[in-house]
Parts: sequence; structure tokens; C-alpha cells
Amino acid sequence: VSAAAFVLLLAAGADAHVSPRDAHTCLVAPGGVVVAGLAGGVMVAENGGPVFATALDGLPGTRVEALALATDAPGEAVFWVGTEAGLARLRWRAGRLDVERVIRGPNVRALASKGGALLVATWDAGLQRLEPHAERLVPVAVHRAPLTSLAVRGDTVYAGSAGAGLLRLEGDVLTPVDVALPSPFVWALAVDADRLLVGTMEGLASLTADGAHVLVSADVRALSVGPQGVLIGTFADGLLGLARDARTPARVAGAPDFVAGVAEGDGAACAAGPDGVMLRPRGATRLRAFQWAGPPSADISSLALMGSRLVVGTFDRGVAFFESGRWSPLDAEALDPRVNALAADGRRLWIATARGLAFVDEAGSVRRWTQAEGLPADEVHALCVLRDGSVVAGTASGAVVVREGVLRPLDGVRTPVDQAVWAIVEQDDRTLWLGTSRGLLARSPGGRWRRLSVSSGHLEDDWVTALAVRDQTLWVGTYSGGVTRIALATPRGRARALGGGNVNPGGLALVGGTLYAATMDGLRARSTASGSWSILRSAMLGLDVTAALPAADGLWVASRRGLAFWRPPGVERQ
Amino acid sequence: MRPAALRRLVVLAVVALGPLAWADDDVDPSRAAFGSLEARDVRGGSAAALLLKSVSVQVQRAGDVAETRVEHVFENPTSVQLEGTFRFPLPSEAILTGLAMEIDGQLVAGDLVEREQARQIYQQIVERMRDPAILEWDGGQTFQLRVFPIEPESDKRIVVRYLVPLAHEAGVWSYVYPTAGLRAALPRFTLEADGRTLVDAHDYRPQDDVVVKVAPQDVGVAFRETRAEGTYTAVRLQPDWSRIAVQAPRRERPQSLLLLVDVSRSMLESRRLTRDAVQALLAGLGSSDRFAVLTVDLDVRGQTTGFVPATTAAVKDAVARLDAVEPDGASDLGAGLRRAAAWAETEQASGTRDVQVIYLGDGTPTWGDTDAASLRTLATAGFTAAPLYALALGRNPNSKLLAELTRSTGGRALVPRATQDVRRFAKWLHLAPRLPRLREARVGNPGEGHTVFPREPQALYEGDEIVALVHTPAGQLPPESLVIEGETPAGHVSQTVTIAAPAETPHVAARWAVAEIERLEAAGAAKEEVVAVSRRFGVLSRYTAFLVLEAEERRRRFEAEPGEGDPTISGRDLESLADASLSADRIQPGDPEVRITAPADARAVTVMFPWGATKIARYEPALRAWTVRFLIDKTTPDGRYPVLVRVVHADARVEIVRIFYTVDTQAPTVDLTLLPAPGRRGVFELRATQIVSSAEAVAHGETRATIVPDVRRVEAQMPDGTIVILGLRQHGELRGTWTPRRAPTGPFSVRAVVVDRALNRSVFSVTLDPQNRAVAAR
Repeated sequence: VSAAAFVLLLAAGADAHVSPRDAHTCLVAPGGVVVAGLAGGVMVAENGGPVFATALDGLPGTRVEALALATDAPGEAVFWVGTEAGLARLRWRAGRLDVERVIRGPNVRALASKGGALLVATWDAGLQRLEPHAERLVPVAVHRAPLTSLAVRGDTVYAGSAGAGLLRLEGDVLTPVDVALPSPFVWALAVDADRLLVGTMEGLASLTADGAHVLVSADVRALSVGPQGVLIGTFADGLLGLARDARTPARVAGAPDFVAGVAEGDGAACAAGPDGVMLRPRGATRLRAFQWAGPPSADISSLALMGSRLVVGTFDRGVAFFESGRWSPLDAEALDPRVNALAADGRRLWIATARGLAFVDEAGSVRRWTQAEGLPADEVHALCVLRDGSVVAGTASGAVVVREGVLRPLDGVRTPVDQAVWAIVEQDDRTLWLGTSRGLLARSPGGRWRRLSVSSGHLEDDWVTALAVRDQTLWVGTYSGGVTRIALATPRGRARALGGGNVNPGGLALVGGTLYAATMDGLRARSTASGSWSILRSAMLGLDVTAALPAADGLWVASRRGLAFWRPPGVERQ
Repeated sequence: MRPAALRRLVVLAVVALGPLAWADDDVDPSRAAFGSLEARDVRGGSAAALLLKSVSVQVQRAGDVAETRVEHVFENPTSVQLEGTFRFPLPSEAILTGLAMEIDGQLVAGDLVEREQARQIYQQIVERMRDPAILEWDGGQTFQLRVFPIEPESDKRIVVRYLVPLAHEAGVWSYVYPTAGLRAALPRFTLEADGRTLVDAHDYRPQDDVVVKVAPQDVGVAFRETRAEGTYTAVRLQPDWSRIAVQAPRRERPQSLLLLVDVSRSMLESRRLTRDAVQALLAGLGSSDRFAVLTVDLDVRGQTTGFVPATTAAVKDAVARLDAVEPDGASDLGAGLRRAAAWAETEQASGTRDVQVIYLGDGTPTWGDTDAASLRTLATAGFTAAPLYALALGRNPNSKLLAELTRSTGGRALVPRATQDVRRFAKWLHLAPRLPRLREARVGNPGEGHTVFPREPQALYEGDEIVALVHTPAGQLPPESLVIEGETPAGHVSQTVTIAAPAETPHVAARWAVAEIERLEAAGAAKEEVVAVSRRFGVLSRYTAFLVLEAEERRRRFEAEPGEGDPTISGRDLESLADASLSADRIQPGDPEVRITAPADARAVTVMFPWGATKIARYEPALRAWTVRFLIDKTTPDGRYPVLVRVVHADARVEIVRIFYTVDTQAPTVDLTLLPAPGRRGVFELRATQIVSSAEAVAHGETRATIVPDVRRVEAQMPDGTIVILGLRQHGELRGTWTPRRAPTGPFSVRAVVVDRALNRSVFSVTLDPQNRAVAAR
């Protein structure tokens, strides 16, 4: 299998851009088809480029934590996908990936077949079972500890737990197995002939009729038993191979330090981890990174446009550009990877991070300011490019202007704003609006300040997270009080609460006659004139939408589960 | 989620059993587990005790020990800034595991720091008028905490946390919080386990200790704690007495009791307790028994003419002679032991009596032999036939030394809480010579690599248990059985005792570490070794101190000491006017950060979150710490959540730490009051007082009595359009003034906005009446 160019899966009017990073699990289906569960969906690779499925294709959740083969008919791969919000059965045949069944439910962490039924270990709802043609999961046994892993040996079902060790299903009770393990945090289980392998946070134990003994001391996250021995995925110690005749494991060359999933089958092998997916195709001897072009993370915090280039800021994986179907990272060692906000003026880019403000000029050079260089605080939340080309940066302790590369106080002398600033817009008349944790502050071009707040009757919540302005209307998004529309032409600024949920920082966008709100409950849309909110489910990879950015023919939608490009119409009524 | 076993403990709880205190006039106030805070004006002046306003105790059982968190609130009613010394009498056998002090409204946990370094840091900070506190061990069970500053007209919260073994007697298990002996009424006292309040009293005047019974099946026998460096097992072992050959039961013989009574200066305060104990011991003797009394200070004096028959008159005379002795001078314990051994040997020579020697005192030698090893040698050599026993009395008894001295002779030491305990001990002494006994009992090492305590042999009588503490290195399996060995009159005995299904239990490693520190100290190990163990396991030693620093100072200090310090979860304080951080006890919405001060060369630092995700931390040279940012999802219910941090050091050593954060989404409520501003005509004062609901308190693992109110801001829109912003005066109390443009003539409506530290908000309208001191609804 070779790395392929960027692939889009068209579905429901939206394209998902799946990050190649943060793979959680993988399996090898007959024929060497490799399936990987990612933070941003599920990926299938077979003799060509990868194909993806996400929530936009019908998965109950985009974050995939578990995989299991359903059938192994030749020429196709049918497998179960466990997500954070339930199960789905997918079929891969002739280069096409279809979601066949969807069972919405709990946060699924492991899957195993037993007697024709599917056993489902969940993080928050114990052990459940799905009968072959059932429409819903049936609880089998609950346990106070989250379940992480499953193994079936003969008639016995074992479940690993996070904190309560190894459990055995006895009737409808998960009973602790009385055995000394290196840690009560069990991440992985596997049956190898007459022994049960138990991967824990502090080592791999082998359980036989003679008792238990420790094979490996490491944070063992994944196990795969093959004819040659056992592959052991660890966090911090890489991928280990324990040959059948060996007593000590050997590190598998080429694998990264952190491996969350590993599988072997039909001569091929795969490994999954924070760095992405690795494959060892049939006939090959080494694992190699299987990359595709995509955003550096499924956790997107902010978006901006630099001319025709889309700029994507991530929660903790830095910045990347997308242009003409190609992705490229912003390589800047000095840049903090925790991006809060972006602003661009066509040629230049400003980046607000958890550790300072960065500026990328046309040549790609990066300049950075932190508290040591005069920022009021290292944590920068919001940015706004003003009409005169200067930039206002809102920080955890007030705002500052960057003009001609020099940091300056907001009003030249002193500023009344010394709490967190989360949103900034400039009105046509150059009035500057700052959204803070204590309400909305307006600074007139003459330097006069005024405050609109819950107390003044203008807002439903004083924590202002997002702003949008057009002509004489200001839309104010708040953390817990939805959106308020303020008519600026009226004497006191007549305010009307529009509802709209919890608006994320920088989460308001005006596109034509539509106001979009990126909220913790989805992407909402509303006519700027009147009407009610609608939720654009077909544009959402996850509920927690962080940004919406208009583009020429659609809308970029960022969320904590990935990036999608959505083309109107298709607005679903709430 | 707390363990189910603790919930059962609460169900079975019985508060305040029968009288456990000493006789009323002999109550030892130093035994009541209430701290005191003595303070003085930093500019000079005499010291005075500050008012203890409230004490709240939270107990969480973990097998056969209980973690106890005691929170004190002191009031400085003066108008000056004070520096204070907090003293807390730690119960016998308790292990101090934590200290916290309130700084700027937040409880800040203390860090374990090498003692001299801690002192230097404390002094430097005091000179800069900041907020440090330092807690040091002064030997025995005395701990003293220096606190600065104690602001005028304000409260000071101090929390100590300790582990204490459950009491176990005659098959009955109980948790005891010593309250008897408190001199003055305590304005507020609460005690709870697992969030269930067992005592909630105003003007608390305890007659007895608080005793919480625990069902034996809930205590368990074997406990295990798994850490990165290995597993720690605690198991209570008891030989199978039916398989131990003992001498045929002897006929009861007359008893000869020798009391060695410490009358040195340090026993002055405990004079009456000592008298009670002597009386209780002698009262148990029969007409054919004999006794002798020796007193020891700088000299050793016989208060009886050798051993005398235990007649009523003789006992009365001996007690009267003891009463006439004014405790004074130093204590030559060694000389006392020599004389007692000689008298006992003479009495034993007849071969017809059971001779026992009992030392009564604080076990603190200040003259002659003061070295523990010398005294141990002396006791072992001197008391070969007559075992030495001890009653640890006094304000600050060295029960550890007394345990060592008595153990080496086949005897034992007791820290009595009441005369009843002494009477029971006297009865047991009478039986002891005829009880089956395993001398020089010890626990065998289960194999290479394991470390087992106790190491010192001890005498086991029928019914006694040994608590074995075992460390098994990572990669090895913990033992499934242990061997008890010892000597009987029939010869050497060795028995294998199976460790049945150990329950995963916290604090086992800390218990082991205390024994390890004692071993290191006894072996004369380097200070650095002791400090390392103390800090790694979070237990105080003679070379370490708990140091509490305010957040920025702490960060700065640990930057100077990379690789040290605890992980923290913090968030930005969005309401703060300064660049302040929030601690994990009430995180605001947003993206908090886990900060781990592990060394830069650590191979990996991973952080496991309660929803199952693992994140890899990155090292930030500027902070000299590893950090990870995470999201608290909007749907996260209120509660306290654990985060597991795993550090793989450069030498492959693994360290695992569990830290917590609290999610708070409860909207705050206040009572709003309007009244004329004193001395300012036409001006009104608005006062807001926060009302904390039980639900909010419980969500933070607190009670309404203990939770610190966290309202940050109250704004009130007055009828003339003015918005009055009320400023924070103290926790939960805000005030603001309003000068109306036109004096209000009757009741009017006010719209108020209340915001707490986690940015939760409530908005309400109330009617205020300027004519009457109006208390508004919430």
C-alpha cells in the first residue's frame, strides 16, 4: 500500500478532511485490507489511497476507539466500528465503504464476538451485547470502573478495566479476577493458546493455570497475537515483538514511541498511535508510516483565510495551510502549537496561542511576542486586524495593539480592560468592540469607553465569546447566554436575545443574510433579519463546533472532531 | 467515586461510645485533636491564642487505616497583622501526610521540601511580607506550623491530613477522633465520613471522644497499592496458635509489679494522669501480690522499701509518697532502667513470682544515656526474665522509643487514652505470663528484591497480630504468602500464612515508607536518602518540612528546582484583574492545563483523563515543566475528577501521580441587604452575603460548614439607573454604596447579577425597602 494523495469522501453536502494523526486502533482484514480507527473517523486502505467514513457518512460518532471484524467473506471486509456514541457496521467492497447499520449508544472501547453476538465494552455503561439482528444494545453487566478491553477464552469472557483490574463475566456480574497484576489499569487483553495476556499501565502479564508472571514492564496499550509471537503496543516504549521462543521482547524497528493499537493478519500488519497509522503490507518486512494529506489534528480550534489559502489552527498541533487540494504545515519551531485564534489580512498571518502572539510575514518568517516582550499575558485569546493595518490582540489580562511591529496600550495611555478579552471587532466608524468575561466594552474613535452587560440589560451573559458586526448591528455571542443582537443606531443600543446556546470563542460568522454560530451544541444558522435557529447537522463532524468560516462556495466548519467543508443548501430544520 | 466499603462504614457508624476520657479532673487537653494558633504582632508584643472558630473533620477509611482531614478556621479579631505558630497534637501512631493553608481565598497544599531549604525559603518570603507557612516535625507526635501573615480582622484556614490506624480491641474495630479534654466550647464542630455528617454541633463541649465502629468484615486483612516502582502490600498476620507448642498452662502465680515512674520536669502537666495510671495498675493486684515503686528524674529513688505486699495501706502510702514528689529536673531513663532491672532480678530470684516492670512516662531521656541504641542494649540485657512494659504518658511521649525498648524484652508499650485503657492493660498484665507467646517473632522475606517490615523481632502473645509491609519491585509478582518465625519454649517455629485476596487500597505505600524512613535513620543513612523517600511518598521525616507558598512563589521556587514538585491542574482566572491562575478546586470553563514539574530529560510524560483519553505532555523550557492542555466538555457534570500522570524518567524509573480537578456549574445565590451607610447622610450601603447550597458543597466534596464561598462579583441595577458594583470584603461578603439622585421614598425593585469564581451567574430581581432594613430574596 502506498501513501496517496488527499481523498475526500463526499457525503450529505459536506466534505470531511480527515487528519492522518491520532489513530487509536487498527485491524487487518482478509486480503490485507487495513482499517484504522482515528480521532477523526475510520480509514480503510487497500492497494491504494485511503477511504474514510465519519459522522457525515452516518457513523454515530466521529471518534473511533474500537474495531472488530464482523465477517471475513473473500473480497470484502465487514467490520464493526465502536465510536464514542455507539456502533456502526461498515462494509468495504470494491473500493467502496458503506455504513450498513448504526446502533447509537454509549462510549464504546472494545468489541468481541461470542456465540454470534457482539460483546461491547463501554467506558461509561459497562458490558453490553448486540444480538445478530437486534436494533439496540442490551446491558449485560455494569461495573463502577470504565471498561477498556475484552477477550473471550472458551466460554469465559474477560474484561479489562481502568482502575479495577481484570474482570470476569459470571452470570450478569463482572467479578474481579484474583490475580496480581502490575497495575489495576488494564488496557489490552489477548488470548494466546492456553494463556491470557493482560496489558496494563505498568506491564504485560501472562496468566496461565500455573499463575501469573510479568513479561514486559511498560505501559501496554495494545496486543496482537500472531503465528510468530505477540506484538505489544506501548506508550513511551514503542512497539515490542515477543517471539514464541523468546523470553524478552525486542523493539520493532521503525515504530514510533507511542503505539495505541496493533494488529496482524493475512501477512500484513498495522500499528496506530498519536503520530498516525503505520502499515506493513503483505510481503514487506518493515512497518512504514501511512500518511495522507490532511489537517494536523482532528481537534480544530480556529480558521482564517489568506487569499485563497485556508489556515487551520489546532488545539495542540499547530497551524496548517490548505490550498488547491494540498495541505502543508506551518513549520515554525518557536510557535506554540496550542492555537486559540487566527487573523489574516491577505498576505500576513497572526496567530494567538496559549504562549504568546505570533506573526508570519509574507516570506514565512515568524515573529513572536510573549509576556516577557510586553504582552499583558501569555495566553492570547482573540485577534482583530483593524482598518489601519494594526492588530488588536485580546489576552487573558487585557488587550494590546500591535502597530508596525510594536506593542502599544490600547488607548495610548491606559485601558480599563484588564480582564480576559475573548472577542474583538471593529465597526465601520472605527468603534472597537471588546468581548470580555465582564461584558462588552466599546471604545469610540474619540477614546470614550462604555460597557454593556447583564446589569445594563443588554446581555444574557457577561462572558462574551464572539462578536460580529455589520453596519449598525452587532451580534454578541456568549458562553452561556446565546446570541444577543444589538441595534447600535438606537440611543441605548436596543438589545434582543436570540438564544443559540453556548457560543465558542470566535464562533460567529455572517454570510449574506445568515448568521452562523459555532456552539458547543453544533453549528447553528439563523437569518439576520428574523426567524429561528437551525442546526446544520450535515456539516458537523462533532457537536462541539469551534469555527465557521465563509468561503467562495460554501462554509468551512471546524470542530473538536475535525474539519468539514459544507455547501448550502441543506439546512435542516431544528 | 468513593469506595463502597466506606459507605458501609457510615451505615455502621456509632458515635460516642461509653466514657473513654480520663477522670474528669484528669482530662489531658493535649490529647484532644484540635489545633491551636498562637500569634504575635509582627512588630513585637506578647503572644496570644487566636479564637478557633470551627473544626471540620473528614474521615475516609482505607482498610485498617483511615485518612483524616482536619480543617481549622481561626479568627484574628485584632486590627494588626500577626505571625502565628499552629500546633496540632497528632494522635499516637498517626502519619502526617498533608498540610494546606488558605492564601487569597484558596486552599494551597504544602510541598514537602528539605527542611533547611524550607526554612530558608520561609524566611526569605516572610521578609517580603508574602504568604508562606512551614510545618516541621519536632519529635514524637508534635508538629508545629509557622504561619505568616494572619491579616487583621480576618480568618485563617489551616488543614492537616493524616493517616491513623483503626483501633482494634477484643475483636472490635473503631475509628477514634480524640475530642475529650477540649477546655473551651468550640463554636462549630463537624465530623463526617463519605459526605455523611456524623457530628454537626454548635458550641461543642465534648465529654467523650468520637468513636465510629467499623464492622470487621469491612476492615479486611490484606491491602495492596500498585505504583510505578512496584506494589506495596500490607497484611495483618497472626500465627496459627493451635499449631504452636506451648508449655502446659501453669498454675497462676503471685504477681510482682515494679513501677518505674518518670517524675522529671516534662511530666509536670501529666502529673495527675500518672497518678491515675499508678492507682489503676496497683488496684488490680491481689493480696498475695507485691509491688515496688521507683521514681526517676536526675536520680532514681525507691518510693517503697523494695517490693512490698499489695495491701490497701501499702498502695495508699505509695500513692501518697508519689503525690509528694514535685516533677522537676531532667530524666535519666538509663539509670532508671538499670535500677529497675536490678530490683526485678532480685525479686525474680525466688522463682515463685511473675515479675513485670512497667515504665510510666514520656520516654524522653534528657540525662545520662539518651541514645536510643544504648538504651535498647541496656533494656535487652537487663530485662531477660522480667519483661519491660511501658505506658506512654505526658504531653508528647516518644512512643516509638518506648515501643523499641519494650519490644526487645518481650514486653510492649501502650499509649492510653483513658484510665479504662490502663485498667484493661493491668488485667492483661495479670494474664500475660500464662498466655501462649511467640518470642522474637519476625516476618520472613518472601524473596530477592522484596523489602519487608517490621524487621525488629517482637513478642507476640496469643491474639496479637503483626502488620507486615512489603514492597515488591515492578516486574515481580507480589507475595501470595509470608512466613512468620519465632521462638517458643518448645523451640523454633516457622509458619506460612497465605495472603488472601488483597484489596487495592490507598496509603499502603505511605505506611511502608514510614517504616523505610525509620530503617534508614536507624542505619545512619545519608540525609539525602531520607529526604528522597520522604518526598517520593509524601510523608514527613525529621529532614523534611511541609512548605506552603502562594502560587506564583511556588512556581518560581520549583523553577529553581526542576524535577521536583507535584503536578497541578490550573486554569486562567478570568475574573481576576491581575494575571492570576485558578487552582483545580473550582476550575472555570475553557481549556485548563496540567502542569508537571518533571525533569526535562524525562523520556515521556503522559496524562490520562477521566473520559479515557491519554495525552502526551510536552516540555516547556520557559516553565521548566511539562504541560498538557485539555478540554472540560460542556456536558461534564459537577464533581471531582481524577487525572493520572505517568512520568517515565531518563533512568526508566516510572512515577505515577493522581491529581484532581473539580467542575462547578452551580449558579451562586446571595442575600441582598440595603441599609443607610453609617455616618453618610443620603448614602446607602448594599450588602450581599452568599448562600451556599448543600448540593454545591457536596459537589465539591465539602459541607456547607466547610466550603469557602466563592462569589466574586455582584452588580445591582438601582432604580435611578445606577449600576452598583459590590466589592469583595471577605469570602462570601460583598459591599457597595449607592448615592441615589433622589432619595427613595418606598420599596423599589433591584435587578442583581451575581458571578462566582467559576463564572457561574445568576440574575434575580428583589424588592428593597430603604425605610426598613430590608433583606431581599435571592
